[in-house]
Amino acid sequence: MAEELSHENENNESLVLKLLSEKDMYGYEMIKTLRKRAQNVFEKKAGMIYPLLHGLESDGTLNSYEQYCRGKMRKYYSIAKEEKQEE
Amino acid sequence: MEEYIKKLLEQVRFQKAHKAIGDELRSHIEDQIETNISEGMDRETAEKRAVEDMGDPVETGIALDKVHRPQVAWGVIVAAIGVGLFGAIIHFLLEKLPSSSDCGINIIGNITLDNAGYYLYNVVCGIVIMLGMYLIDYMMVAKYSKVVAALLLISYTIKNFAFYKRIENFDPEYWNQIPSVYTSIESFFSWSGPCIFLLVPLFAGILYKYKGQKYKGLIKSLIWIIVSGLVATGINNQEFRALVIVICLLVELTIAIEKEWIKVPKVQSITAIWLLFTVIPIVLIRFMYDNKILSLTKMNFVRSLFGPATSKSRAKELLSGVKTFGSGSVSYMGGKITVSTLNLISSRIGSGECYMITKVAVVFGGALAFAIITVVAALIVFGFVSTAKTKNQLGMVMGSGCMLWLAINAILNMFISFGMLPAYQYTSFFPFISNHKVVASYALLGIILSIYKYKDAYPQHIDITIRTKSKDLES
Repeated sequence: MAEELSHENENNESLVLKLLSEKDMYGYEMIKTLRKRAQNVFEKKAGMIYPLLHGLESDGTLNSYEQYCRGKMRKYYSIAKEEKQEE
Repeated sequence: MEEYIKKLLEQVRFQKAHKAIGDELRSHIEDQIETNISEGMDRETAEKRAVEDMGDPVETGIALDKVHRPQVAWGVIVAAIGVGLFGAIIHFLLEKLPSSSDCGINIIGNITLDNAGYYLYNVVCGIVIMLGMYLIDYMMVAKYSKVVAALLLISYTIKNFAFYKRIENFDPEYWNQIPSVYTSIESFFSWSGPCIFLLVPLFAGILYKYKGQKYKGLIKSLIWIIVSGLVATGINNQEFRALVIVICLLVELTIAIEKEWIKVPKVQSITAIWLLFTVIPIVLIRFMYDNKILSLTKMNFVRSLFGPATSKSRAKELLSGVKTFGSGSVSYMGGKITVSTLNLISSRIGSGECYMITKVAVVFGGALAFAIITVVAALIVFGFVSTAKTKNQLGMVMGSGCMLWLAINAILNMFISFGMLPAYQYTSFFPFISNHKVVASYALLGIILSIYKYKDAYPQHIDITIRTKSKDLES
């Protein structure tokens, strides 16, 4: 069970990193994009994308910044430079 | 929606992270509601579906709680305490040397302590203040920065004014102090001098309060820097102390402009500011020096910076006898006479606080001096790295300023210790090791620990305006 969860987490992580390698995005934008591509692993649990994003940000894999978009302040995530170089 | 957020946040124990998490999730749900409405749902159904899409708030909350925990840099706390205890042992051992038996005696209240005891007392106070600063959120420092900085500058000015007045009443013939109100005033505000370094973290908060302003904010920031520099110079020829503070404030202002807190053309403004604070003072000092307008003490100081100075040559002389381990000896008259460095300390550098590193190298060997420099440098580097990693820009600017103040003082002290700069007027210190400013060193490290603690909790920007309860209710 624990192994399955960890495997699922790894898959979700690589999916999020793949998305962010295309462009910087905010949480809802990521869910929307995944839904469009029929890859929404967060279906009916969209909130779970945030612990994943915050965890990746905390360990330095992702950076975040705030920016206005469509009349609201959004928290954008981007891949940290070192991670980009490794790819 | 609010019920979902509330339930989720109940699982996150770190209160400071609540606002940022709540805002992000609220924005997500609102976006989903808009999409649902555009697909033909009524408002109520749209919101219900959007919340359902988010999943179990308890599960998400527990997962977020694991990420958002206060970060405690245990390694740094242990290292800082270790440095203090190790420093105390060094102070005790140095005091036991026959050559340094002339060290002064310091009296604190009713407790009489020698230099080593006084150092230990300072270390204990420093550690308590460091832990206090760690517990107090650095946002509090920023919130009340203007009031505290103004109070500090005014207090120090009053203290200096009282000092002048007291001197007027001084009777040199009998070497007696005629008691006056000025003595009491000076004593009442005496805390302000040792606290003047606090202008560095406070200025970060002041700059943050000018966020969004243009040239008005820039001019106000420059006025704070000039006033801080003038006040910090004080009456005891503390130009070096003031210079270090001004450099730190200028670096903080530079980062603030670069991060667009103050909205002015970046390159032009930063270049103009640094030119203003380097070229003008250099030209002014050169002019005053050439025309002999400077006082004799200051003329000597300028001369000693670039030319030979007794204190510089004495430090070099001692260091010529340094061995890797243990004490060495210095040769005179082509090797005919050799004198142990242990016997030279007292006559060459005495009990001067500036020369702690020289003393350690001379008495215990270069290896130990190098080890101390490395540990202190590691603490400062940790400070820089953790502030660079923090998301919150205010923490980043405040932390950079604090660590820069320690780094510049450490570098200046090493120049003095190695005989490259004269120990002249300026009370130089090596952070955490010299008795002087040991409490300040720990206090600034405490601010860094506070920044590290909240590094994942605070967003890029945060509101630091002082609010009353009624204002909070309105908003």
